Amino acid sequence: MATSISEQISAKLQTRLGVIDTGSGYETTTAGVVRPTRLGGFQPKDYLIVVTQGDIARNDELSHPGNPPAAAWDIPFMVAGILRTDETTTTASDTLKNQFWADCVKAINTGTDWYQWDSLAINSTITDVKDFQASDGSASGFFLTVLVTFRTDENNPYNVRA
Amino acid sequence: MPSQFHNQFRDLGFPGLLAEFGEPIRYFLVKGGERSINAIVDRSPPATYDAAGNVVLFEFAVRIYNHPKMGVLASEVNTGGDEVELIDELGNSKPVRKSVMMRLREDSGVIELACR
Repeated sequence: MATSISEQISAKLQTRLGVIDTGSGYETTTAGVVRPTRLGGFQPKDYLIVVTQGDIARNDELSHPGNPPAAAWDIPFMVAGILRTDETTTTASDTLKNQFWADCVKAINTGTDWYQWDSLAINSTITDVKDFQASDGSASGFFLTVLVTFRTDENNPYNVRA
Repeated sequence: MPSQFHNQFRDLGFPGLLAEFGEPIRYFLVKGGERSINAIVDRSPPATYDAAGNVVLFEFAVRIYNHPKMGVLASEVNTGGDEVELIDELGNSKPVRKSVMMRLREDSGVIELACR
């Protein structure tokens, strides 16, 4: 079964985030990386990373003609870092967030051509890191957006184009 | 200071309710250790609202006895890592682990926890 380019990039993103571990040169250790099912399907835990994606938009400026034409696409991936700290901790919540998001950026930026995702994309940018605090106080953390631009055959999003 | 009613409900009322409506679960303390206890599990809790009026979504409301052996003491509950293991859907035989997300209320020997 063929795997679409966007799905392949998403899988690589999860793999990179999954290595965050104090034993591997990071300051934090993730409890895992998950992608939600329709009903959620995951257990919120301290240092869990949840990866979702947003709307895929056509990028006309970076598309180019050919036979078939190459279509460029922008896809935002949202990386949510969840913190559910022990009630007895005395460390400031923001301190934990600062370490965790920095580790996520470090993991995503692995390799000199990190932004190409092993030649699947032409560019990637981490556009923002937004803070969140669950309204019920049960969790806090951040949302980090990775905007990835990739090209495919216009008529076949399974085939990557330069 | 608890009222006489609260004390009686704690000592007689809730244990009776647990015996009637409770089911076995396992409670895992983030500080270490686990406890096999009985709890009243509400599998379809209605959405509740926080102080700001936001809907708080959770999957289970679990009522446990505020007791050092037959339940968990309120002072032991830690919403930063405690977990429960329960049957998520009646008919399933394999229990699943859920996180204790928040305390909904504590009263008369009962602790109600929102779990997801």
